[in-house]
Amino acid sequence: MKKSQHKQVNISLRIAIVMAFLLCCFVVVVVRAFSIQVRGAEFYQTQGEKRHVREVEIPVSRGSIYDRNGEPLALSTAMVSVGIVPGQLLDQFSKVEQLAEVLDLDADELKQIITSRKDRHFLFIKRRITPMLADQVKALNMKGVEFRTEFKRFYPTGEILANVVGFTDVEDIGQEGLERTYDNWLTGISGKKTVVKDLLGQVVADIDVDELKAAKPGKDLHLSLDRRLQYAAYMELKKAVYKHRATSGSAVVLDVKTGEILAMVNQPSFNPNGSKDSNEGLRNRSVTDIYEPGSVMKPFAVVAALESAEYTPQSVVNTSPGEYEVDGFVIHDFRDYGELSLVDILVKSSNIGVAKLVLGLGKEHLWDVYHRFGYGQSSGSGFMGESAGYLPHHERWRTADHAALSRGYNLSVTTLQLASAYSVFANQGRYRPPTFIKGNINEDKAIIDPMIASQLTDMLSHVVMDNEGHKAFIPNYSVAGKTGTARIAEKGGYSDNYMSSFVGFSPVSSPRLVVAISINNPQGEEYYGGLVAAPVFSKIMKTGLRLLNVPADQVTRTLVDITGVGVTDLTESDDAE
Amino acid sequence: MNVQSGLSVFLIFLLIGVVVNYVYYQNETRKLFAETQGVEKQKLELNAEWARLQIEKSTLVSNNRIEQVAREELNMKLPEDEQVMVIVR
Repeated sequence: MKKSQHKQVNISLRIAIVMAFLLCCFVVVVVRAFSIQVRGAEFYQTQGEKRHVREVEIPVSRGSIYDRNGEPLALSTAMVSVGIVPGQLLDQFSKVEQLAEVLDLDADELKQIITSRKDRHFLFIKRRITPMLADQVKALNMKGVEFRTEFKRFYPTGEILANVVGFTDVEDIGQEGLERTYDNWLTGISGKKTVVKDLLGQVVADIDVDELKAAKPGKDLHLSLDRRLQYAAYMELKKAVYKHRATSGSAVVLDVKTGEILAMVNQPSFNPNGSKDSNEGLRNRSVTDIYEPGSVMKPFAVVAALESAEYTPQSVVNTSPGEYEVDGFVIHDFRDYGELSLVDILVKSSNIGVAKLVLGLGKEHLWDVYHRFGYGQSSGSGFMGESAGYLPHHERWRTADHAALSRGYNLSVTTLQLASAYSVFANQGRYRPPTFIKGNINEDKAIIDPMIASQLTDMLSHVVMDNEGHKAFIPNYSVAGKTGTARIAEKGGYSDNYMSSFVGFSPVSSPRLVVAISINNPQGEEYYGGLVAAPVFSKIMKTGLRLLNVPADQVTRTLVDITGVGVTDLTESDDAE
Repeated sequence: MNVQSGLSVFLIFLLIGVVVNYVYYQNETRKLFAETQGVEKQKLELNAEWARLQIEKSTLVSNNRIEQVAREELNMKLPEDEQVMVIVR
């Protein structure tokens, strides 16, 4: 009975109530779902992603620069840069004061920056601090202070290589020297990757490692320079510039066989690790500064004479009476040398001798010789800011210009060009463009007859060996080279200031190194290239030959019999070559 | 028990097995990933340390310092030209 009564209770009503209840629930769910999925979609999506999916930057360092033996010349170290989100700091000025104290900043100024730029998302307040100092800042545990990894460039060799290697700016972009020349090679591309972070901010998974966004660290650069030789050359040049109170100076050491630049030094220089406010030392004068070289050009005039086949090294030219008029200009020699062979023209550095030699040849021929040796053109070293020098075209030469060019006036050259041109004599008449990069050896090409190159080598060795007590002399080695002392041109004529130079190579029997020295405006009693530049040449060359283990070819002091039976000292046996 | 229900039971167990396995390996992946993160962080730190040491080393072996130590502390000097003799075999 009861059962049947129950059944009679309005069953359809019950179903309707349950259905209505379920429907209400369903509507609530749908409405909630709508508000989340549609109305609040953007908000929740960004909030969710903020907490979980992040694109993080992968910082990369700039490539290092090494010398030919792997000694570091420029390194990047990871430093920490501190930035702030001004909006988040507005209400915690007491902590801002602590922050300013740790970072050694002015607290009032920092507060002002925060208030005036409160809409900025991010700004650096101190860049490149040490990780230790960064830890102190992190200990303050401030909201709105962020840290980024940045790299600081450090130059262990300091001023010795400053104007060759150059430096980078605060954004790590090369500004001068090889840092600028090879900026693309050295610069890394910082990558980006998308990661999933948990609520604690720890990365739990990499997603979407995009090849295009992958970090590419900067590539290292291995220079042809030798740090030891560079140091020795720098010290010698610095001493000479100081001693002669010169304005500036440059020295270049080239490897004859490869064209590699082993050392390149300049005075004045600067400290690349400090501030770069003085402009004077920034230039790499060896390649950027041009000057009229003077007598160091005479060997090239002699090349022109020998190529004409009208002369041999023994041909005689009459230079009496020590004065010679060309086109209204009078050319002087130091004194009346009388009759000189071509060898002696170079040994005595006779202005009249070379003038008479080249005036008998065409202007075009002398121009062609100079042109072949690379004058008036960029050396091909690729150094940013390199000067091509200046060689006027032969069609514009007057006769007086023709004579002036034979003794190294009316054209301008760089010290590197002189070194490269002299290496042709040392390299059997083949010109090889110089390079700063180890192993990146440029193709050489024959520009003069090897026979003439060896004749010139022999003549240039007489320049040093025939002059008693020549300052370019190096014990136990044979040396070939030429001095130059040129007046420096100024507005309307020539000043009483001089450019003293010496270019030469050694050992003569199998040349290994070319060294070019130029010292600008020595103020002391001495200004002749033979007295100012040649001693620097001798010292740098001596060190270079020792560092490269080049065997001596002109031994004046020997010890024979190293077997221990008895050592004989053959002091002063001059001809033990 | 017919064949069909037997297959169902088998598939259910297989599914459970696969799911448990998946969870296990997901966990393993996370653990290994955390480890790589740690190691990578260590690599960065070691790199920074290496760069710092390299700078320290290059400061210690700078030609300036070597010359100074050789001259002043060890009383060394370059031989004079007259003191140099070449040994000929």
